[in-house]
Amino acid sequence: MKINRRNFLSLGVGAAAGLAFSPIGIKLMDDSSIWTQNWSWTPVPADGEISYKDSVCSFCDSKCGISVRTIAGRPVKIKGREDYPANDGKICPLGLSGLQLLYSPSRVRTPLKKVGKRDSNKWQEITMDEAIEILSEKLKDIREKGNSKDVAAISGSSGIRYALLDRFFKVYGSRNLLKKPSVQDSYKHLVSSMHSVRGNLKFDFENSDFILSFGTGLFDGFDNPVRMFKVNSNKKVSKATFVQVEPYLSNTAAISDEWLPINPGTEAVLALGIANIIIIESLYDKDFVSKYGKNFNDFKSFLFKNYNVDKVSDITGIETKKIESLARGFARASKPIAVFGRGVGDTALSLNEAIACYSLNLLKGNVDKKGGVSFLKDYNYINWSTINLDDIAKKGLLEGERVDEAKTNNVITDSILNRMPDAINSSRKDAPELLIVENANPVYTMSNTKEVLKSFEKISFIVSFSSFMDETASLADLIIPDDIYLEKREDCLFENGVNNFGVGLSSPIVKPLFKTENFSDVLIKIAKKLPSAVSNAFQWENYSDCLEDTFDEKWSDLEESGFIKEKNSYRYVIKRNDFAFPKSFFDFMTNFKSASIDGGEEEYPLTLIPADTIRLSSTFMANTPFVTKIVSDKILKGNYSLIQINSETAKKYSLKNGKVVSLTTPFAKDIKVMVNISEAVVPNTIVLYKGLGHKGYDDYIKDKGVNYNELISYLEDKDTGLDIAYGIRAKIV
Amino acid sequence: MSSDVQNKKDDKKVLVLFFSLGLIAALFVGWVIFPKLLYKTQKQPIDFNHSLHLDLVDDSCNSCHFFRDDGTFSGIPKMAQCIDCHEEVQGENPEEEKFVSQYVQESKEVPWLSYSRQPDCVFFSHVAHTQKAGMECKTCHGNIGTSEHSKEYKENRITGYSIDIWGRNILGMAGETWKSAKMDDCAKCHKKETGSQGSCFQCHK
Repeated sequence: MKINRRNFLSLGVGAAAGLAFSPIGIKLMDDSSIWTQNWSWTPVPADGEISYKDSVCSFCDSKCGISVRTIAGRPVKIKGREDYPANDGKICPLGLSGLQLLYSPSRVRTPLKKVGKRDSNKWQEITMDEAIEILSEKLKDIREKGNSKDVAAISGSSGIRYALLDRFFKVYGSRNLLKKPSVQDSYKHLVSSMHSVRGNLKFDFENSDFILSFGTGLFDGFDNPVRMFKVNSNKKVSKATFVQVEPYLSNTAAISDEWLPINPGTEAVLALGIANIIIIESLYDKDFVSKYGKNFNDFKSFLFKNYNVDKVSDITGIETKKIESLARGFARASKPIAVFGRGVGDTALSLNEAIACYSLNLLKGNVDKKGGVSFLKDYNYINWSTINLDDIAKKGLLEGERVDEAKTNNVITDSILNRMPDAINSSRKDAPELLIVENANPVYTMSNTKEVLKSFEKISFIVSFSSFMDETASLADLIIPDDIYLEKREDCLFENGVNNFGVGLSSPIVKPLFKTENFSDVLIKIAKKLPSAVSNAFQWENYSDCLEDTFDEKWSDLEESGFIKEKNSYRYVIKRNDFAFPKSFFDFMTNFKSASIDGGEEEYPLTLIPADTIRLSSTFMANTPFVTKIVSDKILKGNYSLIQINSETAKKYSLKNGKVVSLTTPFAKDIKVMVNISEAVVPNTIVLYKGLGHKGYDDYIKDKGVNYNELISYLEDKDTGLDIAYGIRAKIV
Repeated sequence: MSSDVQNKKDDKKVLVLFFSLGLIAALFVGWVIFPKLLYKTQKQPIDFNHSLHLDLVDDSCNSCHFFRDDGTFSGIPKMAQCIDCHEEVQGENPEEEKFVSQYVQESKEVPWLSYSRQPDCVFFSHVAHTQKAGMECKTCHGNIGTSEHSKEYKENRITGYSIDIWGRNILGMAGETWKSAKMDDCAKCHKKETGSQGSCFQCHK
C-alpha cells in the first residue's frame, strides 16, 4: 500500500466532514460570543442580602443624613436619609459618590514613616502602635524641654473631635491650634461689630421674596447645598426674585432671574449705590430707621457725597438705569435679603464690604425676623469637667505666642492661618517643632503655595492624620491614617432650619478596610502616654466612651435614631436699640486694589478671579473621580484648566478657543491653561475654577488642571486679619 | 491490466480508509475529547445530601432557600443558616464532620459551586416565577432536592458558566425543562406560558 498526497487529502476531507458533523463549531461560536459579553476581568458585585444602614456624610459641614445600601455587607450606594432634618432625603453629587472615597486608590492603607527626604515620597510601613509611640515620644520630649508652645496643629474639625484636640492643646500647653477662616468668620465679625453679640448670620431665603446676592454662589455649594437646591426648586411657588451680581455667569447667576455682570471687586460699591438711591427715593423702612437707626444721618450724607449713581455706574460697569431699577426692586419687596460673601464661602470677606452689603438689610429693616436676616448663637453640646493646668501648660499658654499672630489685636478671629507662612518665612515667628495636620490639607487649600511650602520646610516634624495621600500628607514625616466617615462613629453637628441645631451620629457602615484608626481614639491614646498633667484630662477609656459621656442621658436617643434635635431656638433676639448704621466707611475700592502686587496694572492688565461649581470640591477633601467626570469640558479639558475670557478681551490678545497659553500672576509664572472664549464673563477679566490642580491623591484626581490657590497670595483684611484674597492681577502670554 | 485495476481499487480503498480515519478521528475529537477539554470538572467542597435535609425540614425547599422580606431570593444558604443546626457535628457522616471542622469552626463560608448561576447581565426574579406564576422549583432545578450526593460541577473554560446552563448534552438538546437554562429555554417557556417570548429588557436590564 502506497501512501501518497491524495491519501492525506482524503484524511483531511474526512476530518473536515467529521468536524462539520461534530458540535465543535456551533459550541465554540456560542461560547466565544458569551465570552465577549462577560469579560472575566470585569468586576461583578457579590450577590447577597440587601440592607440599608443610616449614617451621616462628612464631606462638608452640612453633615447630611445618608442611607447606605449594602449587599452582603459591602456598601454599594449612598443616598440621602429620608427623615433627616438637615437634608430630608436629598443629597448633593459629592455626597452621592462618597463610596469612591472608601475604595479610593489614594487611601493611606497603613501608618507610614518617611524615610529619606521630605519630598522623596519614600515611606516605611509601620504599625499603628509604633506610629502612636513615635508621636507621643516626640510630644513628651518637646514638653519636657519646656517647648510645649512650639507644637502646632492645623485642624478642619468640629464637634467632639475638635474639642478633644482643643483640650489636648490646653493641657499640653500650646495656643497654636489653627483653623482656616471662611466667610462664616466674616459674618461673625459683622454681627459682633454691628450688634455687639457673638453670633453667626443666617439668611432666611425660604421666606424671602427678593434675594440680592453679591457674588454668593447660592446654588454652587453655598451653605448646605441640599437646602439651597430646595430653595431654588421652590422658587416657582415662593415667587421670590433672585438677582445675582457677579462678574461671571456662574450657575447661580444662570438660574437666577437676573444676572448683573459687575466689574470684579466692586460689589460693595454697588451696594452703597443702591443704598443711596433707596434713601434718596425715600424707599427705606422709615419706621424702623427712625426708631432704631443710630447714625442714620451720617450714613445718609456719606452716601450722598460719595456714591451717586453715575459714579457707582462708572466703578461697577453697570448702567445707571439698571442700578436704579435694582434699587427699586429691592426696596419695594416686602422681605428683601442682601446676601454677600463670594462664591461658596471658602474665603472670608472684608468687614467693610460685608457691612456695605448688610446695610441694605438694615435700610429695609429686614433683620431679626422671618424672611430676613437673623443671628444665630453658638451651640455647644460639650460640657466636660474642667481641666487642671500644670506649670508647663500655664507657661506655654501664657508665654507662648501664636505662630499665626492671631489674638494679638483681635478677639473675634481666633485663628489667622493665612498669616502663618509669612510669619515663619520672614522670621517674625519661630517655626513650630511639631505640626499636626488633621482634616486639613493646607498645602492645597492655602493661597500662595510656594510660601506655604517654604514655611513647611522650616517645621522640624509634620504629622498628618489624612486618610488620603493628599498634598500635605505626602510632605509629612509621619502619617497616622484616620478612618473615613463610612468606617467610624462621630458626632456631626448640623443646622436644623435657620435658627436651630441638631447633632447626628455617623456610624460605621463597614469595618475599617485598612490599618487605619479614628483620629479621636488615637489622640486619647497619645494623651494617655503623656505625663499625668495631660493624661488626667482624658478620663475616657476611648472615644466611644467619650461620646457616650458627652451626650449622657441623650445618648440612647442619639444611638437609636441617629440624630437628636435641639429643642430650643438659638436665634439671638437683638435689642432694638442695638441696631446702628455704620459710622464711617473706607474707600471700598482700596481693598481690592491695594493687593500687594508687584508690577501693577501696566504689567498685569487683566484681573483673574475664581469660580466655584458644585461639581468641584475646593476644600481639604478632593473630588471623587465620578464628580470630576461630570465637570464640563469648558472647565477642564484633558489635563488643562480652561480660563473663561470675553471675546473682546480675547481679540485684544489674539486668543483663540482651545489655545494653550501661559498665565502669569505676581505669584506664579507661566501656568499653562487653555482658552475658552465666553460671553459669560465681563471684559478684561479671566475666570478660573477652583478645586482643580491637585498634586496629591491618585491618577483620577491629580495633575488635572491648575490649583487657583497657587496663583494668588493672601490679602489681609485690616479690620479682622482674615485672608480676603479673591482676585489677582494677571497677564496672558 | 488487471494489476492496474487492482491497484486502482486498492487506491480507492486506501482513500476511503483515510477518509474514514479522518472522519472518525474528527468525530471522536468533536463528540468525546472536545467536551472533556471544554469543561473543567470540580467537586463541591462538601458532598451535600439534599434528600436527607428535605426529610428533616418543615417548609420544603423554602426552609433553606427562602425569600427575604424584600422579595429577593437568598439562593444558596449562608453559614449563618447552617449553623443553627450544625454548630456541633450531628451524625456520623464524614462530610458533615468536614463541614463542621473546616467551615463552621473556622467561621468560613463554604465556597459552594452554583449549578444555576446566570451571568451578571441577566436579571432574574425568583419571586416572580415561583410566587406569582406558581412554578415549582423542580421545573428549572430538576430533582436536585431529592438527590443524595452533589453532582460534579463542570465549568466551561471559555465562558466560566456551569455546564447546566447549556445542558449536559453537548448538542444542547435538553429534553427536560431543568436540563438547560439558556436564553432560548427561557424564551420557549415564556412563549408557551405567556404567549410571548418577551423582550430584551425584561431580563437584560
